[in-house]
Formats: sequence, structure tokens, C-alpha cells
Amino acid sequence: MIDSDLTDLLERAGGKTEVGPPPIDAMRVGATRRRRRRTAGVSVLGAAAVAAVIGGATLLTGPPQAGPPVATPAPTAAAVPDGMRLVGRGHVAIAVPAQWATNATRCGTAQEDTVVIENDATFCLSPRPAGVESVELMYRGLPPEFRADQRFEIDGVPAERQRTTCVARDAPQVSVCTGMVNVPSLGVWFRAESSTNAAEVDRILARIRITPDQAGVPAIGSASGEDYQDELAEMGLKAKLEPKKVAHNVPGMVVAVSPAPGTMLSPGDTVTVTVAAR
Amino acid sequence: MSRDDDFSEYVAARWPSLVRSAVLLGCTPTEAEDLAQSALERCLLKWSRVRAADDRDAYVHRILINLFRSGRRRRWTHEKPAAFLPEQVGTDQTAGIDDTDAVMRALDRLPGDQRTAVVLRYYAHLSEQQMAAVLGIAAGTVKSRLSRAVKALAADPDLAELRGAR
Repeated sequence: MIDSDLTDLLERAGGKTEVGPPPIDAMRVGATRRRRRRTAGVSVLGAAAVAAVIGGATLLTGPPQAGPPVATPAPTAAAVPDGMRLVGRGHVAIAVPAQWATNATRCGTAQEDTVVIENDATFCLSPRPAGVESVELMYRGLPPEFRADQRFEIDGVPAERQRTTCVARDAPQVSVCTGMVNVPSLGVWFRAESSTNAAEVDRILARIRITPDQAGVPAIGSASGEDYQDELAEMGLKAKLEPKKVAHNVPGMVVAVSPAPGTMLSPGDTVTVTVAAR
Repeated sequence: MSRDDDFSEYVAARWPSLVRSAVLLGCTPTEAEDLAQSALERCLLKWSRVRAADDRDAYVHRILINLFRSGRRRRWTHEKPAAFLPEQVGTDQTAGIDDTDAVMRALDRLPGDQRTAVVLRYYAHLSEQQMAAVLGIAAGTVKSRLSRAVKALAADPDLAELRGAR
């Protein structure tokens, strides 16, 4: 059998196999994960960690999966890990330790471990203490300087990750690490920060998930009653508007909602929306 | 060229051939993609070194073969995957000889080392020198292993019919 025969046969046999495009992004993430496992130190690209708790065919944790993304059937609500609670907006949520506070910020800066849904950023500055983890769950208003360093999927939904970077803030000398995940189709983005280390940021962002069977109560922001009602309708929730005489408020604006923003509800549930009476 | 661009370019050029090599070694297409991806990830980790090396292809194939073998060792202690079963489920036995099936059957009959040698030489087109580096054996051993493999394939009934039919 001459060489060219064999080559020919193998090439024809090999050629029968359809090969998808190379999953380069996944390779970079995988390589980074291996590098992090071997060396201690600040992680620069933590998207691999994001995949850690995510169900469905997305990025890799153990054996890598390659090939084109396959549509997975919508998963039934994955159980929230022990000691965690789920906080979200619409159908995207994040699991945070149950003992974390909500909106524990001063001048927009987390003061203790907290999830932040409504930001109180005002014209003041407050330093972040060391050893504090936090994650903001925001809707629209993605900062223009956001860079999609990595594109991936969360439970089949396209998402983008800006790599975790650390900056030493001035007196008192505290290093703050920041990482972001954006879910463009849902308008929701997350900014995780830690004044412990970068691995904490990655760990936080790894707990983002899509919740097809639950909807998180949206933040109020500066919504009018009608706007807010529309937002609720979009995610399958009902609104019960309750006017209330409130001083120093523009009539019609939402003053409070119950259950609190971030609470995960089932489709069809009602949110009581207190609006400033006209 | 940046390290990253360089890697992307290499992967774009080599990906289909690496995956298909793995299929010819006996992986299912999915396993083959997993294997190729794993190998390239590990290479990316050392990409500066790989770039500087004389021979990126030899490096990458060495990683690929090592992963294939260690995966195979693990697999044999568990269930036998369909790829290793003598009768492929779903293969139409009554139809005329299908080229691919014939080749795969012939390759299946070769001992693992010989199969690897054949794929590296006649599909991946590595030189004997490269193969020696990839397999960690002497060039002389590469030669003799290949010659035994080719002899076995030349005598293989499936391939004989195939060649006769061309």
C-alpha cells in the first residue's frame, strides 16, 4: 500500500467528521483556570469561575464541552445552595450568602457584605472597609467604559464579562477588586467588588443564573407608577397600586414596593406599589 | 504578532485537523472536540514556550496523544464506549462498503501504538523526527512501528475491497 493511498483514505475518512468552529474563548478561560489553580495570586480573567455554578451547556468546569452551543430545555428552578438566598431582577438572579445585607452602602460604597439593588450614591465619598464583599444588581445604565473581555452564556443566555481588576485605593490603603457581568438581552448587569481579593469577585459572579420560573422584583429607581407597572408586566408580575400622601415627592412616582426589590416571586404574583398621591 | 493573535491563528488553522486526528484515533466527534480543546488549553498555558519551540505541531500533538492515552486508560476501567464496540450501533451492515466505516474498522484492528503512528504520519503529516518527539521513542522505533502498521493495513480485507472498488 503506497503512502498516498493511505493518506487519501485517512483524509477522506477524517473529512467525514463535521467540525464546528474552535471554541477559542473557552480555551482561554480554561487555560486561565488552570493557571489560577497552579499559582496563587490575583486573577485577571475570572470568567471560568462564572461558569462554576451554572447549569446548562455553557462554559466549562470539569471536562470541557466544545462545539456550537446547543439549546437546552429550560431547567426547572435549580435549588438555591444552603446558606444562600436568591436576589434578582426579572429572570436573572444571583445567589448570595443569606447573611449578606441589602443596600448596606454609604455614599454608594459598601460598608459590609451586601447585595446592592438600589444605589444611594449621592455627592459624598465614603471609603470601603477592608474585607468587604458586595455585588450590585443593576438595570440599564451600563457604564460606557464597560469592556466585554469575554463572551459566554448563562443557562443559554448570552452574557459578557469584564475581567476582574484590582486597584489600590488611597488612605486608608485598601485594594479593591472589581469584576462585571452584563446580560445584554435582559438589560441587567452585575458589578462585584471585594476588598478581600480578586478570587472573591470571581466567586460572587459565578453565582449568577437565569431563573425562567421566577421573577425578581425590580428596583424602583425613579420610576413612575405606570412605568413600574409596565416593568412588572414584562416579567409576568402583577401590580397593585396604592396611592399614599407623601411629602416632598412628585405625584405618581413610586415611593415603595412590597415585597422588596430583589425578592424572587412566581409568575402571576402581585407586587404592592406605593405611589405618591396626586 | 501578539501572543494571543498568534494562538488564535494557530488554532484556526489546526483545529479541524486536530479534531479529525482524534476521531481517527478512535474518539467520537464530541470526545474528539473535547480532547482537542483540552490539549490546546494546556498549550495556551505554555504558549510562549510553544511559540519559541522549533516545533509547535510536535508540541501540540504530544499533548494531544498524552491526553488521549490517559483518557483511554481511565475509560477502560469504566464502561466501554460505543466507539470501541466491534459492531457499531446504527451501522448499516447490509449496505455496500462505506469508505469511512471500512477505514475506521481497519484502524480499529490495529494495536493502539500502531494506530497512533499511522494517524500521526498519514493524517497529521508529522515527520518521523516529529513523531519520535511526540511519542517519546527513537526514530528507528517510529520507522519499524509504521512499517508494521502499513503492512497490516495493506493486508486488511476491508481496505483491500475498498481499493479494489476504486
